[in-house]
Amino acid sequence: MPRFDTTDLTTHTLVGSTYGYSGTRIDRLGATEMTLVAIAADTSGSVHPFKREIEACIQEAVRACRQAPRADNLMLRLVQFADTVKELHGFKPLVDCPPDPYAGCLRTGGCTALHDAAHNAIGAVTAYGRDLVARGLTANAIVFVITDGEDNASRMTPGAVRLAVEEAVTGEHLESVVTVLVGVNVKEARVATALMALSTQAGFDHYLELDKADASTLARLADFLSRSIQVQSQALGSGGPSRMLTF
Amino acid sequence: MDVVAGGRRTTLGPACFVARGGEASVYARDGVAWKIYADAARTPPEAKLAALRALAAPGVVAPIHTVHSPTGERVGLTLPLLDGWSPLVRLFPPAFQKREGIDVDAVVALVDRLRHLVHLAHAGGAVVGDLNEVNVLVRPDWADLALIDVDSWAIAGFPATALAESVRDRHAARPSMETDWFAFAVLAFQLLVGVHPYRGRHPTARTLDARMQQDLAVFHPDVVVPPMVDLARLPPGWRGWFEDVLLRRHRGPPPSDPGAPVSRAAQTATGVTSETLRTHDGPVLGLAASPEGLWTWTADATFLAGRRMGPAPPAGAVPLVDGPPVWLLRDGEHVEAVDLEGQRRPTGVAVRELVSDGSRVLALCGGTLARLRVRHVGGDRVVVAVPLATIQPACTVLFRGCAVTAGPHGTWLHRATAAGVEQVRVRALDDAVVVDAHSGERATVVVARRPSGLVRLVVADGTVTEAATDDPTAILVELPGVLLVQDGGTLHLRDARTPHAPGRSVQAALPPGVVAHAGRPTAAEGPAVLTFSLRGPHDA
Repeated sequence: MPRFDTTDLTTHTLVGSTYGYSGTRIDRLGATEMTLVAIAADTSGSVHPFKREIEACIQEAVRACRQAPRADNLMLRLVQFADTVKELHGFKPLVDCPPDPYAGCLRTGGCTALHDAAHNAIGAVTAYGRDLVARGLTANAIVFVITDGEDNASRMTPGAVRLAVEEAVTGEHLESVVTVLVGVNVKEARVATALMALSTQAGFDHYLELDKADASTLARLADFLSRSIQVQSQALGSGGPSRMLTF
Repeated sequence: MDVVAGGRRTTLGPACFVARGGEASVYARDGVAWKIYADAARTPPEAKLAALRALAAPGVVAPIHTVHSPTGERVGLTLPLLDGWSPLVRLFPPAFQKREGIDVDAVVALVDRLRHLVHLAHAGGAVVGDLNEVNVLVRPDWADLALIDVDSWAIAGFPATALAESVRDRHAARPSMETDWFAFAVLAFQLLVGVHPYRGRHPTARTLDARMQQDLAVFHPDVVVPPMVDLARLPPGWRGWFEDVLLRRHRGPPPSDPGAPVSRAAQTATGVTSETLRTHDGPVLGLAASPEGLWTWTADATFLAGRRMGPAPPAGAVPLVDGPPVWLLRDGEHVEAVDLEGQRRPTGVAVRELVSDGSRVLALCGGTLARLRVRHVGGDRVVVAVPLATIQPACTVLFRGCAVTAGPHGTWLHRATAAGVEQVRVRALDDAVVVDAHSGERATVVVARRPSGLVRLVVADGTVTEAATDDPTAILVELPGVLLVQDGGTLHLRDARTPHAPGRSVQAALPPGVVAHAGRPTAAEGPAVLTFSLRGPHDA
């Protein structure tokens, strides 16, 4: 039995990409305003030592967001990436995402297709957001790409990621989009420099760097994720992106 | 942080922190809420707090004490603590209401409670101003409401100090009691229907702000409404008021009686009563409901909500009410359009046949079934034929809102809907000749002749029900929550959620040409425009 219930999801392709995405059928949704949340989690071999902390971080963010006043206006998509990008579940209402299955959901091993994952995560919110808006719904989005290292396995370039970001921002489908690149366990200056450069080249709105990956640090990251998601959800209707929080 | 209120000193720290807003932080301690302003100078003046204290009532969270710093500086105020209450926005999604078992009656009761609280504020001389989705809290059992953030209200000569964009009246310079009713309408609409009334998608007004400025609420035909939105949840007694406020800039409180949802009234109805909406100088030749209001026309003029808007339609013209009416005149296959200024121009549309149901016009254009629409091109309103389906013209007949094809592959019904067209194979008509048909958004009524006599069919949800009849006319009226099917002197009331199921019947006859307007059947009889209500067992 699959870990995540994907019964009501339909799959879609993304133009120019090997990877697609899935999302809940729009006529099954129970709210007219949606904040699309995409989390792309690095599962390359180097993440293995703190895999459980990453899972707990996602689980805790989901748990916190489910308690939020606007929980029914949140949809979550989760992908993991190593050699390839794998969707663990497509866009689902957060109220249909019980926290428990996120424990043990990641499988580590392999290289880091960081650009492919970022491109897919951003392209998917744009495409699904376009479908929502075409049916009269309102949507904005927030994308988190969590990694511990540089890309070494992607077909996509930072320039392609940048185009995806630009399309998300200028496409007039999503009311606003916030993109956050999170570097965890970044101990080497070389990796830090590379991720910061990627953030700039690809046009991420924010780069958050954590030099540790212990339980405490990732619990704070969970708090940051849930607060950022909720603030972006509150911004829906204001026409602009949310004010970014501090870690 | 040490603070003093009501003669008591206390410490506010992270352990009792609740939330931080744009201008203040809120703490919960000693059974009260402490609102501490980031800028102490923003603490409301004592005279304003005194005026607000006088408003204290169940549901109005008025200040208790002024909070001072240990040095005596005014830094905030204390308020009654509403532990566990949620912001109103939480109740907006239909999924939440369904999951929590909050039915439409409970929602109507909450809206009525909100109406009472706004009245209460006004009676105390206050203007709420920032009546938004997070300044109204709901009790944990979802059965009561309270207004918070009252220190932002306008009272005793002090202006309102906040106003959210989501409820700001784009046609008013500053908050007033009138704009409070606009904000109330926006909140009540979201609570009842699950969508902000100016959401949805419009081809040109792409932002919420633009739609609010142009009065393009979700009632407007050009606005694409999300699929989960059910306007039938609006109480019939308030439907017209919502349209007046959201489309026509009316500002005032809703009628005191929201009325039972028509669907519920239909379950106990024993008959129909009518009242005169207005009387014209001469016989009313036709009427059509549109988001702008009710259009009527006589031999002398065309009226909107009783106001003269233009000359009478040309003789023999077919009305197309897609916004202000356009009159369509056929000259052979060619169609000319006459606007409200009386200007006549060719449309470029060629038709073999066209039929109006009062507002919508269907046409047979060669082998295509089309709906005629009015589009804005540049500064002009242009009539275009929007193709709906390919049909066999030789064996297709047009009716109001639909077409019937009786061909070698059986009988097919083509129903025009907001989304385009729905094509239904109706085997029950294979051995019959269709005499009349009338189609709405949710159902179609067909009267057909069989060797055994006339039958009346109702096609809805892919299901066909039929009954013998003596009345050759098909009349269907779709109201919020209920469908009315006329059959001679009997009016059948079908629940809109289960339109295929025969509903209750009452002895009543609605006049031909009846339309749904402001949630009620509306028709013309001589010079009078009549509106009808379902009469219950206890009505006089």
